[in-house]
Amino acid sequence: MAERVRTVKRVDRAFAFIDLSGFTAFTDTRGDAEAVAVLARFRALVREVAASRAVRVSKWLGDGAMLVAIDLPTLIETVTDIVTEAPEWRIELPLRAGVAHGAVILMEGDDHIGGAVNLAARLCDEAQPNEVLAPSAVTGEPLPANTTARVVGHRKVRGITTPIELVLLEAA
Amino acid sequence: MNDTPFALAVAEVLDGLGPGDVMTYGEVAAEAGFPGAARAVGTFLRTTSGHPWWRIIAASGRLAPGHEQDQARRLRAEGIMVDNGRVRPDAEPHRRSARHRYR
Repeated sequence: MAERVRTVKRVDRAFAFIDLSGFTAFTDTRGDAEAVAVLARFRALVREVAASRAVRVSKWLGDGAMLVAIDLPTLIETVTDIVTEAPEWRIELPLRAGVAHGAVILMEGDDHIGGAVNLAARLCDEAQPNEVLAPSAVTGEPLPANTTARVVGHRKVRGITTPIELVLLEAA
Repeated sequence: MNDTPFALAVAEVLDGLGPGDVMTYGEVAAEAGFPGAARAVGTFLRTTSGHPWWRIIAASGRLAPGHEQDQARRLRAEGIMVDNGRVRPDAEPHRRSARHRYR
């Protein structure tokens, strides 16, 4: 009997991974209790800024978070706001983030599968402290009024065969 | 609760702000003598009345969650530029004592 092939519906979404740069070393030197306190402040900040822009915190990932939004400019604004506001929230570690958007499969209503998710996660890994990295394709959509995109050139990203032109997203 | 050293110092900073003055939560905390207590300033503003809460913004220029429209209206009435739920330092901000002015 022929296997039944189901049509998979894709949805356009924007994704960001954001994390505390150097969290493991911080835990080693400052101890678990201080690390948990910083993590709690980080999560509170992410929650507040994401909620204020109707961006969903899709997953907490230890010392990071995955954010999902329907539109890219809102997600970019949310991420750059979080990075900018972190020092005032006494988050003693710099943040870093990766952003990407594209059509993905929505699995069981709450999980997103697709290249944009993987790319955003990889770019977060590649980002230096206080950097928000994104593929230059994000400049094909209007950026938030307070944000600039600075081209940093083509880079090889782990797990992706061809180098990708990347931009740094920065609050103006 | 509102007569703690922190509350008294923060209230003094807030009440010294006039039309056209905008500070961040962190700046209020620092000027009050409690650097790093930005979140506590936010809590103070949420739980007290009679202070010019609308003159306080996040470090990114973001307005108070849930009060964006009211805050934007009040700031615009004082000559502050607000765009998309954010105070915009379009002109080079300058300091008057420790306060940023956004015009």
